[in-house]
Amino acid sequence: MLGKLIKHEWKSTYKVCGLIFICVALFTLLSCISLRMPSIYSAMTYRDGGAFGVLDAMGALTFVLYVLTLLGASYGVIIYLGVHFYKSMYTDEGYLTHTLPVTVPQLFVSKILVGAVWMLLVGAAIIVSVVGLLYTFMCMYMPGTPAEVTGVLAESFSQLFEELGSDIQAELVHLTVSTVLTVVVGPFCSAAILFGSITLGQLFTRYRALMAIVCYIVVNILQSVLSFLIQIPLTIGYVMAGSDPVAYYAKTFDWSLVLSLITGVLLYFASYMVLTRKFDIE
Amino acid sequence: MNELIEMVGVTKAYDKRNVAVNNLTLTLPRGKIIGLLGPNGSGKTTMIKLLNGLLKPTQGSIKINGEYIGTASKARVAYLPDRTYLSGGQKITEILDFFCDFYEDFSREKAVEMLRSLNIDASVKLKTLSKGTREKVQLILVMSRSADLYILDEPIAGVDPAARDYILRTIINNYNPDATVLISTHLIGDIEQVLDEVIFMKYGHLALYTSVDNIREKYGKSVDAYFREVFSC
Repeated sequence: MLGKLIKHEWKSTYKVCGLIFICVALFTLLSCISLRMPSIYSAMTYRDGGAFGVLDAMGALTFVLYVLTLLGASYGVIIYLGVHFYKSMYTDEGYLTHTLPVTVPQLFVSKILVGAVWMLLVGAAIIVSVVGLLYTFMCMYMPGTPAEVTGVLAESFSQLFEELGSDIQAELVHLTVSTVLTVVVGPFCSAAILFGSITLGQLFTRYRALMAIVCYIVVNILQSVLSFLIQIPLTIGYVMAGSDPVAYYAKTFDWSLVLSLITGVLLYFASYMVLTRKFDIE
Repeated sequence: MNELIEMVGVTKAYDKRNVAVNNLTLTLPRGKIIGLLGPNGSGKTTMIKLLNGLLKPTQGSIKINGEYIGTASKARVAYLPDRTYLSGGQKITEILDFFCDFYEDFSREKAVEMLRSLNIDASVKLKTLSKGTREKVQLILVMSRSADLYILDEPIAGVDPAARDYILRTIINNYNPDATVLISTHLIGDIEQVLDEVIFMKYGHLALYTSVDNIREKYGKSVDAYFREVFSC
């Protein structure tokens, strides 16, 4: 049944999430084209570009819209997934969802898995978009072919890595692993926190939609406060002992991931308890 | 085992002053069409939600087919709520796929046949249909299952008399004869002729559970007339 739930959850979310992808792709393409605007072109090629014209204004506007699209995509996917979860679980559609012959963990896990994959994909799309824009910029204005430029950059990083001491090298690897783990595991925790907070909101007898939002905000504030409290001894240790910044950031990433994992797991079990023991549909 | 539903001492209290169902003990058999009748606020919908696992009882226990409410009971209960529980953005064919995937007892052929008989195009989105047609689609989905228990909450409310006839015909012609159909309604006169038994609910209590024939023989009245007498304001 879990596979079927995942299949139908995917089918019911792909249209809006696909639209987010199309928006990101469209504005990335427009921004790539806008790199050719006269003022940038003249600045990069040391030519006199003249006055700031209509094409420059359109290009600048495109860049503003591009940044807004990336921000909108990263927050939009969370808002959409939250609204979709609330609608399918706790409004009239919940009358079908909660009468399906499936268990609560199957239902909740399917929502978390699909939600997390969409968050991950949108995050990846944003990274690909930014890298794509930089690559286009390199192709247009950097001397040499893109392959040559990439080769030079890779060689420089490799040299830099070799010149670092073995301790810093190890910390750099640690930081890279922590970053990758945070990027991959983070969306699963975020989805569990989002859906868990919405479910906690259903414990209230009135204004459940509002209370779902309030619960999500409160959980995020608590998480930030805990993160800050954990950060204090790390920062003091970094400043007082003068330890290297790579190790500091690696530890910060580790604790942030652990905190997200704990919050996600706690909210998953809290949601399980609410749905199996307390939940009454309106 | 002829008992299909066993409710023992079931109470549902939303808060101290708001007790929707109060210490209800009831056993319902298989193979009957049972009317769940009572005025507004008598606890009919709460009882239906309890049977479907949408509410948790404050006290007492409920068994369907000898099993407590859970995955197994949900697989054997076909439920028509008093609202649209399908997403308007879905096409009817997608909804049929959904029901095929989750309910082993769902017959796609039966559903398609019923849709065809009503000239409903299965390729359209649900939100493009009128309220009455949406309700018929939901009823078709529910009655295309070969369930042990059909629970229909106000299936004929808010539709015109012609549609009521169609809905009643659909229920009578399509339910599994070994199953029980529990119909909640205010429109007693319209469904009286199809009922075998009736349950009268009053202020969350069971006021009466008897056969329709018994009411006619004992009181010399129709169920509708007897209901009006019992619940006269």
